[in-house]
Amino acid sequence: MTSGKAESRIDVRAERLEGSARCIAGSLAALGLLVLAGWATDTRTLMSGTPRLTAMNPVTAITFVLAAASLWNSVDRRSSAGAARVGVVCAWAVVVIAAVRLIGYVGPDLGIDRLVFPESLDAEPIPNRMAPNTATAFLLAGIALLGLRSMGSRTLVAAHLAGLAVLGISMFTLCGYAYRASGLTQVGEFIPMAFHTAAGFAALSVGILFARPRVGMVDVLVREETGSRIARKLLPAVIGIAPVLGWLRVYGEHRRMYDSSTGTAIMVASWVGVMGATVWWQARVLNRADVKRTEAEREVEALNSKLRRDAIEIEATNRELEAFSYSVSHDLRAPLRSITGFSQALLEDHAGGLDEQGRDYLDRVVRAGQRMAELIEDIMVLSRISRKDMQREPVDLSVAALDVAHGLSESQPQRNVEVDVEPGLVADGDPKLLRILMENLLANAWKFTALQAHPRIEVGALPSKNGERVFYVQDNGAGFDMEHAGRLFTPFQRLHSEAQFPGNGVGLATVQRVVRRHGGRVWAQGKVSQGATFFFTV
Amino acid sequence: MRHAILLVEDTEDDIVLTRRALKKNNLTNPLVVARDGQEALDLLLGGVAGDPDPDDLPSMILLDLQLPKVDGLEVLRRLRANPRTRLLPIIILTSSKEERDLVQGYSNGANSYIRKPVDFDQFSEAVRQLGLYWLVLNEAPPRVG
Repeated sequence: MTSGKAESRIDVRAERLEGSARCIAGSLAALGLLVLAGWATDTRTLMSGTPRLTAMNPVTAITFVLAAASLWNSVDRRSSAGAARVGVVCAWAVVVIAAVRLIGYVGPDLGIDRLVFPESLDAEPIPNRMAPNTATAFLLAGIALLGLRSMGSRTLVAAHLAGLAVLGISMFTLCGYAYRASGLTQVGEFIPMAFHTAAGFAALSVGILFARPRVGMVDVLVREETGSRIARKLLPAVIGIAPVLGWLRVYGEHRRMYDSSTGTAIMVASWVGVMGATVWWQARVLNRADVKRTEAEREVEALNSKLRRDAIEIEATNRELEAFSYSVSHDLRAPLRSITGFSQALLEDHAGGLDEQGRDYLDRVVRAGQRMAELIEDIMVLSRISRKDMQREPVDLSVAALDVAHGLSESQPQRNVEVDVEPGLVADGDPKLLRILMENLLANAWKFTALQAHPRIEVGALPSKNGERVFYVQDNGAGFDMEHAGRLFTPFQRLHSEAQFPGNGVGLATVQRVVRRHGGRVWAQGKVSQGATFFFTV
Repeated sequence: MRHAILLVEDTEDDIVLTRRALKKNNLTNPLVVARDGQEALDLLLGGVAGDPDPDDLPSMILLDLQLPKVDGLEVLRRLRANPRTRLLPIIILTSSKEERDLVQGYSNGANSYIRKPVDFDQFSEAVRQLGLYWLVLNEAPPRVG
């Protein structure tokens, strides 16, 4: 699995959570507005869910709408500065309303929760107020919503912790309603938190946790690691099963199906059974993944050892190649020296005993021997380039080109070649090999412009594409037929006659070897009598 | 062996060509030939016969690298390790231009490293310059016994 794939899976999960946070925000706003509509129209179902339960205070409903607005635009970090400001203002409003209400419970009561529909509120069986646990939950939620806007991971962890505290308060209240434990729904003798307020807080806290899932504490839910995978599978089970079992127990007891200790026993046994099965199932899944990983590791190990074996083989091949080159340079030259040496000796010491033709034959033997010595030399140059140790570093090709051109014009002062080198051509490669490359390309251009009235050589680079820099050496010399371009870089292949342009046909072969050793490419463009351009990358 | 040139070379053709090049360049010093590394060491350091005459050393040695029995670099090492031949001018004369041979030759104390040219005229010129330099121009090291 590539890390890119893992990244994209994390993205998919995170986006799913962010989407849920948005849905929650939307639903919360709808909840708040519905409750307000209930108060306005005196519709009991909207105000309190069922007629027997406490109604949600209208200010609580308004505060939910504010929290929902803040949550909605905390999800999208690309939202405009204006929208972000609205989010911050809403979160602050939540904090302020909650703080004012809480202060009211211990100190001066400003009656903030009596601002809307005061008559209807006081007409309730218990005067309807925002409950202390509700105000506390809003305070925490407001702080969390403000924290969500931070980029710092510590602040986000704090925001997520505040969100978890809100979740805790709502869970207590919801469980209190589910199990008819009124001690959990209210603080002391104060008015209890309404049922749908508690449900709203549960949703709001989940929204807060899901709004920024890549950072803070929630990243554990979206990551690729084994721990996150277990968490994704076990968490829903843990969250879902316990309340259901608890509710079943309380329900059975109320219906007098069994007594309290039997209920506890059933609940504990079911819990052990369900959780045991879940853990067993997860363990199997993990084990399977483990086995797969071990197999993959073994495969990697096998591939590695094959790679090592291959490397040893290559090393051996290289050594053989080296030995071969050594004997080529050494052993082949010795008999060659005898052939030319003794032929020359014959020519010098016994010229009298030979007629004109005999001397011509011997001359040819000597020349052929010298030519062969040159060929061996060229093979050695090529093989040395292939065997040379490489180091990569930034190399200024412009400096090298100017230096080479200077050397060429010094060795052939009768030639007057215009050499134009673009400054600052820096390539990443082996300085010695790249120098050899420039020497060969420039010598080539120098040679094939010999018959030009105004010979010109240009060294430059194309605009870089995909981070790859293409360098070129261009001349206005003899050029070549593109049909034969494929043979340009083959050792000892020549497109011009020896008489026209002398050479052995190793210059461009050398260039190609240097380029290949760098993992680059080399190619040529040209036209007969219209010059040639050699491009390369390293 | 006084004033002689010691040629350590196993290729018969090269021996003949070297002899001819010396003659052509009027280098009349006697040419002593050792055909393998061991023979060269025996000649210079004395074999079983015991201590040789300290004066009985050539003026210079032309040493090939690829030799039977003991190779050229080893001959060089042993000659440099022996006080008797420590300062003797030794010129490596070989077909090899490999970097490691050059490095090894110089680091083991060769005075010079000549690559035998294929062309006889160039070879002859190399021998002439070698003779001129090491036998005439260069101040020989003092003999140590």
